[in-house]
Amino acid sequence: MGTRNLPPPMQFTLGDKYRLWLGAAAIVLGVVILWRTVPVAISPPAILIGLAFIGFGVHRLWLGYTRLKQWKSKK
Amino acid sequence: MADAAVVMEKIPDKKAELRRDVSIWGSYTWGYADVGADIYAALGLVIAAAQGLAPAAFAFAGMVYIMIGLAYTELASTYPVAGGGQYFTLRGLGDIWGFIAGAALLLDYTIDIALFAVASAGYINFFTPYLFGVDFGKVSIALGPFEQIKIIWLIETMALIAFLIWINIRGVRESSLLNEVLGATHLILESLLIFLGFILAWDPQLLLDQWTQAVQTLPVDRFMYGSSLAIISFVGLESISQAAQETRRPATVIPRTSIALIFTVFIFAVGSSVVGLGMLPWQRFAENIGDPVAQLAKAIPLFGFLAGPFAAILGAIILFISANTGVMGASRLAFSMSQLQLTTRWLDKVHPRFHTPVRTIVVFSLMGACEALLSFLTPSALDTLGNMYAFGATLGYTLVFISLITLRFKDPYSPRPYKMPGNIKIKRNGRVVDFPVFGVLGTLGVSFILFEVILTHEIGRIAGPAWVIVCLTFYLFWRRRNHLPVLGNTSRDWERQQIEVLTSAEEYELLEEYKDALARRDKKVNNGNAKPPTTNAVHPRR
Repeated sequence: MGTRNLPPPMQFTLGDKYRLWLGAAAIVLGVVILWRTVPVAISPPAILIGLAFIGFGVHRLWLGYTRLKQWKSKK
Repeated sequence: MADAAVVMEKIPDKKAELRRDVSIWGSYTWGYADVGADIYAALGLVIAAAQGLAPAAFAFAGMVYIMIGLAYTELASTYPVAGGGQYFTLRGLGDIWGFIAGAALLLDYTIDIALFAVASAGYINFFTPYLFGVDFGKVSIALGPFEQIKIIWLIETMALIAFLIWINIRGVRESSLLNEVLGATHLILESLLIFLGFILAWDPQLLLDQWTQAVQTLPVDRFMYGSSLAIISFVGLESISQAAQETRRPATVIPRTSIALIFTVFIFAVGSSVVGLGMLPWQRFAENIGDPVAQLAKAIPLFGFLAGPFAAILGAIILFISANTGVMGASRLAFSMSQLQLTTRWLDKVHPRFHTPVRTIVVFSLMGACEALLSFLTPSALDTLGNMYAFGATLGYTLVFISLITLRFKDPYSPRPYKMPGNIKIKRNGRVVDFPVFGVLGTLGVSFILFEVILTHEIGRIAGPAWVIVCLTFYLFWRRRNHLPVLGNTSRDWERQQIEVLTSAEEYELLEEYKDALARRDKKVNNGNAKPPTTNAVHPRR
């Protein structure tokens, strides 16, 4: 699913910082959900949402990191 | 919803010009304020229907929604015009199907006005027990055979719709900045709700117990009803095409913002149901169907006393804005349909002083008010409106998927900056075409939800098709009267239109690509090597 490349960011915005924060928090949340669920039982919705949060967090972090790298190299 | 919408709402005499600078963040928050708000109305409805299996209902509808979202992303970045589903269907399948998609979406916009005005009033009622000692949402009267008409809630809803009519006729619009602030506040609040809920109050055992009980006792048709209602939490994807029309370089911006939007909405919708059922029993949501998110926020330890009222205020505002989107969406769609000779120009009449499309605003808002009034005669107004809403959305989306597949063959020349994943290359008329496998899966998924709607929605399966039939009868009569092809297509120069759209979007790279593709096609046709795809387009000399 190819998308056209965005031009490098002119500045590292509040939105970019929020993206990084959200990514890190989503990973922590995913781990917490799994850590609290697995000792109780293998509950499909909880396991899936835990894994989904980790995946979502990794994606947000990766996106934020890429933009940060682009911005730094441009600077 | 952005300030640029003023231009469309105040219909000019000449060709409408919508292109404005909506930023990446603006485009994202625009969509989020539209689609993300749906969970405020849908959470209670879906949990009341699917009980402990609500996360599965959200996940199933969400998977289909992801595919619908990706289809809209492809089509909106290829054809960045505000017509949305109706325009894509018109291009892919022709006039009559374009009209049917438009009628289905128009039905949804009127229900959108009613549903979100009712839901907004529901969140206002969160405060009435504290302010007046009475829950206005539960005050009811008996009137003949109707035993429980929630009269104050009904009056509040009517007042909100009257206010919407007034502000839209006067042309008052929320600004792009307000939209961004509200979208961002909503995003932060929802993130905090989920994070704090999972960390401070979530009990996996409660979630598991409710899940297991539902697996054992919930009838299949209730789950089907719940999963078809869950599609409500994902509607508003038309905003992607509206954003596309108002964004410069939409081919670059739209795929990124809409893909981020689609996945954020999906994970938050499923996350809200998982955290909700791990904090409260499903019956609590069923009892408080009018303000489920505020109930959830109120139950968070330490922060609940603050988070509950804050969520209620935000819910009331954001749902009111969603109801306003219904008024605006109906005006845009009716305007687009009349421009494309699918319906009467009577609806284009503008107010002499405010220059707003007064007829569409009044006609469709009053229809929304009638729907709200009738829904209050049933045991649950929200459930009845949700019941009807799903029909129009699923019918419209089914036609959009079929159009996506058809357009890959009919219009292979328009550059597609984004394509749905999962394509198989096939050869047709000497050209290699990417056949969209996910497009087929999406068609099957959304058709299945349409089947669920017809099977389980007692009101929607009657009212929805009846609306489409009435509109179609009008269309056939009107086209015949105006000497237009009744079942066929009006000749349109799609290629010239596409060139104009790409030029106004400042997508010069795509424009060159498009012109090159057309030139290659013309050369091949002239040499007799290939047949051009069958379209209803007129091919002018370029």
